[in-house]
Amino acid sequence: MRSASRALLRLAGKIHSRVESLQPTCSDLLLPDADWSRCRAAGRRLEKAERRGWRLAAVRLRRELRQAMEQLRLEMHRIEDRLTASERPPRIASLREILDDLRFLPDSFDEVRWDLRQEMLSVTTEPIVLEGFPLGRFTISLDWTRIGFTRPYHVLAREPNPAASDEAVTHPHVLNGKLCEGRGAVSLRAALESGRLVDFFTIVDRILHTYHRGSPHSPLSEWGGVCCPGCGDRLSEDDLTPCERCESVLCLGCLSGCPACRGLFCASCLEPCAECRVRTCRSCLSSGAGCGSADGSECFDGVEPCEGGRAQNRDSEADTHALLPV
Amino acid sequence: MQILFINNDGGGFADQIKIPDGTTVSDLFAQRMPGRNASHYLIRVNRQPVASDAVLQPGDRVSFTPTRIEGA
Repeated sequence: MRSASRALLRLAGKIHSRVESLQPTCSDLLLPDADWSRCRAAGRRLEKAERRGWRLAAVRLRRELRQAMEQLRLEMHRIEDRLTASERPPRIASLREILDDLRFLPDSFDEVRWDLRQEMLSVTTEPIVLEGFPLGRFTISLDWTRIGFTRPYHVLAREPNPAASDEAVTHPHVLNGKLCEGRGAVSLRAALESGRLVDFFTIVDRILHTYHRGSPHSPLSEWGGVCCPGCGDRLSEDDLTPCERCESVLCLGCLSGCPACRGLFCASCLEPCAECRVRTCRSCLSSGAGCGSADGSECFDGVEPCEGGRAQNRDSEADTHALLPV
Repeated sequence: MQILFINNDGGGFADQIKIPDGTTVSDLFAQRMPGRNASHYLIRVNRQPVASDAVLQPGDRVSFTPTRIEGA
């Protein structure tokens, strides 16, 4: 028991030394030019899509623009908070306060671990459920030697239930173990640089318990993915494409290209060419484009031209000769 | 009397502040977080959750942390 207390005191001492060594800075007060550029680019793409009547693209681009605007708004808030915070130097927690925080952590979190050699202090949250989606518990691990640097901690899903679109997204605001702190960024930094460990872990925990619709890595509405009616696989909505004839929405694996018009079609909207058997869309077959040898050279992929193709070849050859100078 | 007040909303300030004797947790919240709803915050005194009518004591450590913090 006594050695456990000594270890805790050593840990508190190391964290206290690290925090004391930090100098107050306001190095991240750069204005969000990159976020603004992203908004402008998204706006331009949306305008183009609407002008050309690309409805599906416009829907996606509108969402993209909204996300870019939300990111800009958050960044402006963060800068404002940071600016205000930089006007006051942080109050550094005493060794005693850090020790009290360490003693209190097990009352707030299910699991608290530290490793003096690996210089890591970690807590585990309760199971997190956002809008009905169980995301499991998360372990928040702080590398106290990196306090003062950007994000000196990582967030690991203990029972990962990642987004269908990306296995690295284990929470709408966690990608590859990195938490996008959003509105919590400044208070997190203040808590860490003051040595307020309970506040730091509590703020991370609160961000993990909050779903911000404006700017998730993957929205919860698509978390489990959508089912491709062709193969049954679950994928992100962005990975599904409509058949150009019947508009059934399928994954790329369930769509095939018409070699003539290059459009994407579902299996029931493609038919084999009567001669060469290459599957071609009905429009191209019925319009006389036949199996697609419209360039007059050969059938698809090196297959010998079918009758329709040969007839077309002959016609195009005749046309070509007619155009030659005498 | 003096207490340590930590506001984990926005700037995340921690300040020693002076308050009148007999100030309750809800008095402090109303004074420091005007227009905010106390049910949207984790309110702790000396790291423990407390009742809103708890009377603050000299040297107390009071923290207000939003229950919902929007990530990005």
